[in-house]
Amino acid sequence: MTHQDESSDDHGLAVQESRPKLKRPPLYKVILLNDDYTPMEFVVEVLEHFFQMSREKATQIMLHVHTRGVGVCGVYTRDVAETKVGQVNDYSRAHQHPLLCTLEEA
Amino acid sequence: MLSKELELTLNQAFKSARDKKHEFMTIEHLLLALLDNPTAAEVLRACGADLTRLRDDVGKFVEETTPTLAAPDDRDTQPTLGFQRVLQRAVFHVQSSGRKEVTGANVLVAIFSEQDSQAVYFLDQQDITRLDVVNFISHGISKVPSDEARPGGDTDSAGPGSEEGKSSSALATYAANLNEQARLGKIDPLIGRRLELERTVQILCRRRKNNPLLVGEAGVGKTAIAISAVWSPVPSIAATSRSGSRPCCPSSSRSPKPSCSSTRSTPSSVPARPLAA
Repeated sequence: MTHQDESSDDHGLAVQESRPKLKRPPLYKVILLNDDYTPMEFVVEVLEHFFQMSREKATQIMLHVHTRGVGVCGVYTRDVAETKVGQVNDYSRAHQHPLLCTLEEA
Repeated sequence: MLSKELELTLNQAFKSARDKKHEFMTIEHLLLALLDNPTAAEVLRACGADLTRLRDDVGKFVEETTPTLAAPDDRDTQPTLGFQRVLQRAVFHVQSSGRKEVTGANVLVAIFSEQDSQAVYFLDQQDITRLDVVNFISHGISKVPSDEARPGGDTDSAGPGSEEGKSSSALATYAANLNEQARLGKIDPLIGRRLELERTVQILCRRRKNNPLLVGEAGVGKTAIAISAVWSPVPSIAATSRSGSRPCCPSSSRSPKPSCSSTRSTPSSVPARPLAA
C-alpha cells in the first residue's frame, strides 16, 4: 500500500521481484605452510614440479613460506586447486616430509 | 558398467585434454564432452539449454584457465579430484538404484552436486537446475514446450503453455486477449446492465485507482460485465485516457471468477444485483 505513489507508470500493478543475480564461483589460493623439518630444496622442487615455476620464483616463494609462515603458490578454480593440494601432499608424504599444502578462498 | 556412449565421451574428453597438453582433465572438460553425448544433450535440450552458447562458454573457460604441461614433463594429463568424485557419484547412484548402465544423463546429474564448480555455474547461467534434469530423466517432464523433446511420458503434464513457442509472453499464454475475441465476434452483447457497465467504464478510465471490483452473489453476472466492458466503447476510451492498457481475463474457461480485483490500490466496488425478472 505504501508503494502506491512511488511510481506513476505501473498503474498500481503488482510487480514481481526479479531473481537474484547469479554469483560466479570463487577461485581458490593454494597455500604452503611452513614447518621446521622439510628441507628448503624439497620445497623448491615441489614448486618447480607442480606449479611450473622458475628456480628464482620458486626460491622466492619458498623463502616467503620460511619467513612469514605461509606462501601462495597460485590461484585456481576449486577443482584444480583441490587436486594440486592433493598431489603436493601425496608427494611430500611419499618422500617422508611433513610439508603441508592447503587451499583458501581467494 | 558404463554405457558405450559414455565411454566414448570420456575417451574424447581425455583425448582433447591430452592433445592440448592440459595438466588436468576437469569437470568442465567433462561437461564439454557431454554436449556431444546424445543422452546428455537430449536432456540439456529438454531443459532449455542453448547448446552452442554453452559450448562456447565452457570451451573458452577451459582454454583460458586450465594449467598446461610444460613440454619436457614426465607427467600425463590427470583427472582432477572433482572429476573422479563426479564419476564415482554417478556410478554409486546407478548401482544403488539397481540399474546396470551409467549414462551421460547420470553423469550430468552428478555434476550438480559439486561445490563452487564452474561447470555448475555455466549450467545455472542457462537456468538449468538439478531438479529440471532429474525431472526430465525420471518423468519426461520437459521444461521447454516442444513435443519431440519428450521420450514418452504424458504429454498433458506440460500445462497450458505447451503449444506456445518460447517467444510468447506469459500474458499471452495464461490470459485470453478479450479485445481479440471481441473483434472476432466471440463475445455476446450484454443486456440490461447499462448502469453497472457505465460505472465500470468510469472506473476503468480513471488515471489512478482504476481497478473496478465487481461484487455479487454467484451467477449474477459479474464476469459478464467484465467481459462486456471490452465490447462496449471502453477500449477506445481507455486507450486514449491511459495508453497501453489491454483488458485480459484469466483463461480458465471452466471457472469464471470476477476478473477485476485489486491488489494494491483501493478497489472501487460495483455492486451487481440480480436482474429483476
